[in-house]
Amino acid sequence: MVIAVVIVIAYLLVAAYELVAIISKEQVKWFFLYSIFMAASMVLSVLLYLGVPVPSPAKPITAAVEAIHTLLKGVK
Amino acid sequence: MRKEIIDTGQGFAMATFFITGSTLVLPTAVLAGQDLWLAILVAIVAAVPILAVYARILVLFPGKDLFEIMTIVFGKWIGKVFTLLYAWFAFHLGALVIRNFGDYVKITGIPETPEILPMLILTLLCAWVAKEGIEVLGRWAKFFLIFSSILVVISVLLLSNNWDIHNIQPVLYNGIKPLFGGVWEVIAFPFAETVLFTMVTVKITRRNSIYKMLWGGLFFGGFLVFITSLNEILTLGFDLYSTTYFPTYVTVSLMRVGGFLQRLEIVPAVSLLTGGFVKISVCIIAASRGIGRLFNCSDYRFIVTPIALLMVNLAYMVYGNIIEMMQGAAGTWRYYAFPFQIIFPLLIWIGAEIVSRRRNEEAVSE
Repeated sequence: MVIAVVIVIAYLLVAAYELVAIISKEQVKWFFLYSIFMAASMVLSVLLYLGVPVPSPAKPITAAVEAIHTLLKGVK
Repeated sequence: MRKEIIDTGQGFAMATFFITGSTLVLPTAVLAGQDLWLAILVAIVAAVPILAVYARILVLFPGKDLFEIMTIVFGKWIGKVFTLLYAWFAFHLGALVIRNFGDYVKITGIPETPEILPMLILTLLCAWVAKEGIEVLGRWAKFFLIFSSILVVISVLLLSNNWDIHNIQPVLYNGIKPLFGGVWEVIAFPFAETVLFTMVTVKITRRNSIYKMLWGGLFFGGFLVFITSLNEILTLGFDLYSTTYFPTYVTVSLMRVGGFLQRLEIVPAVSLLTGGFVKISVCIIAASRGIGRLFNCSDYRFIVTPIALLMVNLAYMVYGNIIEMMQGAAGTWRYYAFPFQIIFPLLIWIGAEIVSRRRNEEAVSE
């Protein structure tokens, strides 16, 4: 659990450092985009550390490729 | 946005590193069996027109990247869909290269260390250089290419006393079909992955030097992949080659020269580190640019850090173990990458030619 807190603190420190530069440029869109992507990354990191099963994109990609492959073989 | 101008030499070095990247340490063209060396040679020739299409797209719209060109050619909304797809492709490819690096380090060097640590450290370095821009990456690549290439060539030459010509004979024993499978495999990974250069190479010193940059990288990078793979198959034989996760590592561990020069496992590690560094950085820049364009942002550097960190997360979770990674690389990658590397660029090229000619005709009539 301590490591999860460390991960969150590390993300917050990096975000604080970089958001200062973004705020000084008065770019609201950049601020929101940065915050959303950084928050998504932080949540994902914590989930992965806690061992929560997160679905990998590799499986649906493999399934889609195999489905198309089977379909093309059927057409032949 | 800062001007991002690179010269042909820097672009050539980046393209070479991009092609050698993780390819030098992973098995290549396994589908071609013991003829994989021949498959690599045929793939180099077959990739020439593919890379010419990438270069032509950039030449038609100087100073614009692929994301902007797609919006010009297909309009705002279809352009956005393509932008999202290519941003994902760059993001996914970057995550896979990070994973290759993590697996290599874990299996060959530091098995007790959590895999995430070397992946995170390398990615943070890549994010740093991505923030500095393509010029810095180009200068770095140009400086390091000579050292990395010399190391690869010397290690191949020093292993020549272990070669057994029977390991590649008889040529085309299984016919031509497996050879084509191998050719497709090498084109998909790594030659046509250079499509990412259309997303990062915005300005080059001379307009047509984009051809020299991509073709030069293809020929020299392809040559390095060819001599490395030929060296591995001549030294190990196909059975051992195909059952090893990192054949280059196994090959150089067999090196014995005069009883004092041996076990140069650092050579593939250096190749992977330098090539992987450039490849991951290019992927981060391409993905960040894509996200930036998707939301109409004038710069991409502000989003580099979150994209790089998300990439590490994806690299960590994308495969459960190295067996899954190898099956993914060998089994599905060439099918999955085919639209991004061949179909979409062809569509974009045709559309770009039409739009460019229409613009020229309008300019002449005015």
